[in-house]
Amino acid sequence: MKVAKNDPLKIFVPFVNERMAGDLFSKNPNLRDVDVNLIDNRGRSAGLPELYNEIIEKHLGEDAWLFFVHEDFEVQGELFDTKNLAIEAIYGTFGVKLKGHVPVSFGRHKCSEKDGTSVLQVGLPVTSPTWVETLDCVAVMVHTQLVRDRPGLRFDEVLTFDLYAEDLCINAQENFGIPVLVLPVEFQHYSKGFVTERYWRGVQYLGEKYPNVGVPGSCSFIGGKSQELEDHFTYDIPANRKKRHTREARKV
Amino acid sequence: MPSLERNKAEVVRRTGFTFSTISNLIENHDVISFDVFGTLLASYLFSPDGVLRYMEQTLGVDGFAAARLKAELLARRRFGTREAPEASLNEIYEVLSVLLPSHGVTPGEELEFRKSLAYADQSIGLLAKVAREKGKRVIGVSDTCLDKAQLSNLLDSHGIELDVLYTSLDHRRDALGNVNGRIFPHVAEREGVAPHRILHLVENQSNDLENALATGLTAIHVRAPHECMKQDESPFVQINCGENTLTEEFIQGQIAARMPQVDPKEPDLYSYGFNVCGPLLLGLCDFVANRAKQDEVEQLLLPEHQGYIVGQGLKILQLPVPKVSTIDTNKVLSDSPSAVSDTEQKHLRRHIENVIGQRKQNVAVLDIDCSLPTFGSEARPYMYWYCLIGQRGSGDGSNTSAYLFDELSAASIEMFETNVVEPVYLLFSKSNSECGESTPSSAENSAAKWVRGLAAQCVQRGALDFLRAISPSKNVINRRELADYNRQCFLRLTARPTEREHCAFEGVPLNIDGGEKARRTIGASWKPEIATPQNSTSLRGQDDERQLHNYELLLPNAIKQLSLRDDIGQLNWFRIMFRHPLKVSYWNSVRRYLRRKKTRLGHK
Repeated sequence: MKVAKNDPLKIFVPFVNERMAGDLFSKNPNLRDVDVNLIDNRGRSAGLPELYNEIIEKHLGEDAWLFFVHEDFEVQGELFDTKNLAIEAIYGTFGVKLKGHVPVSFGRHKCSEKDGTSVLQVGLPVTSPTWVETLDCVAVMVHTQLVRDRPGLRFDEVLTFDLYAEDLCINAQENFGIPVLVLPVEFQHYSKGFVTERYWRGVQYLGEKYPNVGVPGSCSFIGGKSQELEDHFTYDIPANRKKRHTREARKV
Repeated sequence: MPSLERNKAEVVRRTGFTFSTISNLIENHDVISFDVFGTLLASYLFSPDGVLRYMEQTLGVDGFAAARLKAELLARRRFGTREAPEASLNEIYEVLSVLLPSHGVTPGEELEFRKSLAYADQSIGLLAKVAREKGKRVIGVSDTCLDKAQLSNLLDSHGIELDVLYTSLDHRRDALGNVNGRIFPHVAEREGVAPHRILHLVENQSNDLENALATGLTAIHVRAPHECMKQDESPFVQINCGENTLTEEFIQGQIAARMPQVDPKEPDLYSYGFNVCGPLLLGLCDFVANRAKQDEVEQLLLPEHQGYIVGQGLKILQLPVPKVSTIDTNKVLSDSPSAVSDTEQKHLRRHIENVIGQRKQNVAVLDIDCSLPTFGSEARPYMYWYCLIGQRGSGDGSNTSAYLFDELSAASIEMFETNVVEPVYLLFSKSNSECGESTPSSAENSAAKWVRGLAAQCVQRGALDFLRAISPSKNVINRRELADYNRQCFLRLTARPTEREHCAFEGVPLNIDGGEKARRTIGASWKPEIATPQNSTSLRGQDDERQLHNYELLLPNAIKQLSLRDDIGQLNWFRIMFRHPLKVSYWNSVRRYLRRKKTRLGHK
């Protein structure tokens, strides 16, 4: 197992809400000693995979941990130590895996509205790196050596804002045999994400891209075999409820 | 030790060819090749994660089995290729160290676990023996995560000798694998024979068999023992009915390894003894040993007639039990247990006290059917009664504990008692071997007892054979899971035995002296609902579905859509047809379709 001893950790935060990014990152005392890079995406409105790939290409020459996070992600405790982490893995802070036929999410955190109201506790707590099938897009971390050695392991730019982390995880596992893990960190996600049409288009795209895969995602099963998994379990998250009702109504 | 006839019968079951056909095939080929796992070697834990779950349980590493499975999947992707996807055990453990950093398990340990849970398959081993006798080369072709050295070690530890071993893992660089079938021409070349001179016996039907046949090898599919047992609907086997625990799988693995139902020398009562009574006796012996330890019992008393089989079981299992003594209850109890007089009770007590001696010590009496009278409260600190079924009330002043149904309601126990008690007690009946009788003595009752003794002997032989088979690896068994398994087995047998299972008991006389002649056999007194074989039910279901599907293909889409309307059940057909007389045939079609659907699916 290759371990990166003292490689620096760099956080990259594309933002459209400057105040939020400033409050949650620049002024965050838990990130005082960390290299935080805020990337203004207001003018360009580029898809996050595109931005992340650009960052990867830019940093390929050095050995570092690249931590891609959303602007509404707040670290509320001590950040994990990267000293003994295996290089050949993809890390995140919230992910899902199947236990039997049931998806179980790992990485306990608070999930709230943008203004911090309606706080929900989500996911099972983890105390050490815990393997999962897919990660949520909110936070993804890779080592430059991992992506340097594998030019095919990049974010899919067809997916602009949703499911790119899930795609990266499936790609890493299916084509490179790279494990995916959730790291223990205390955080709050200021987004009770609602599932959009764009998300379902993404699910459809991934179904076609990985016809022989069926894995649990944060909001639905993903891959060509997701229908088989849905025979045993139906996601019942609030974000999906409206969508499901609409679908059922349409069917009738 | 299974007989030669039994092994031949198993070969027929598992290959689908007569033994002479296989023997001729061996004769007509130069090299006999075995796909090692599932043919020459089998595992008592047959599910893909069985050994891993056992390792997780034994080593106490939480989440090990799931992580190890995932690690294998990832290692195959990382180190293997599409053409040669094998990954070595070391590579799997390399990935595992990332997935589960604190597991602390080594590949060597896994190999040792696999070794301890594997066994040499005697029936397929017979084919290897025949091949050797005919002077053929016997080789192995394997495609697992074990390399040649590891696999040879595993085979050696089970006394299996092969002339040469080919593994896909060792030829991964050249992409010579079972998956793509390229290993077979390589094997033929190395062996110096044409592919059609190799007879390949393979368990994996999907890849190996097709690839071997495509290469020109004579390939025969050998069903794995557990698959064979499942497909044959073996009597007294309950597959996939429980919680799929390790204990359940291990017991079924033992049954699959022995497959008593294919033995031409053994009747179905032997299968009952091996498959059902064996696990029961194992659980009971373990229960007695465990309770005796908890109660700090210094002497265990076994009634002569009932305790014989338990005494034998304790000896085979070598469980730590206190001093075991036998009490001859026949000397003091003349009547049936329900009519024990005060005098007899005193006699029994004195008899037990004589056996115990003067020393005050904790003593346990094994009372399988709760037929012995218990003693009063003054003897309580020193006397314990162990039963099979919790029948005795707690308020009678005795320290009674039961193995099965200790905490169940009286109604459940009664249900069990009325339905399945006779088959169960057959295990604890006096057998003819025990009392040394070779023929019935004289009267009609004695003849019935003698026949019952023969049946009991058969059942007990099966149960003791099971204990002998499981004894070396009894540590795999979990006490609670075994009790649940036994309970489920008997409840299933009570509720819905198959016809074959019921027939096995039909002619066995009941354990009664006199009474109604019509009720003198178990078959006559025990009349449960007979279960239909699962396969025929599912075949009928499939047939119904196919017919419905064909009907649907002919049906216009409009009618199909109409039949899916939510309010279709509430429609007043008479009124609709009256209002739309020109659509009568249309509505009739809808009604006919719905009726068919209901009948077919209802039937299924």
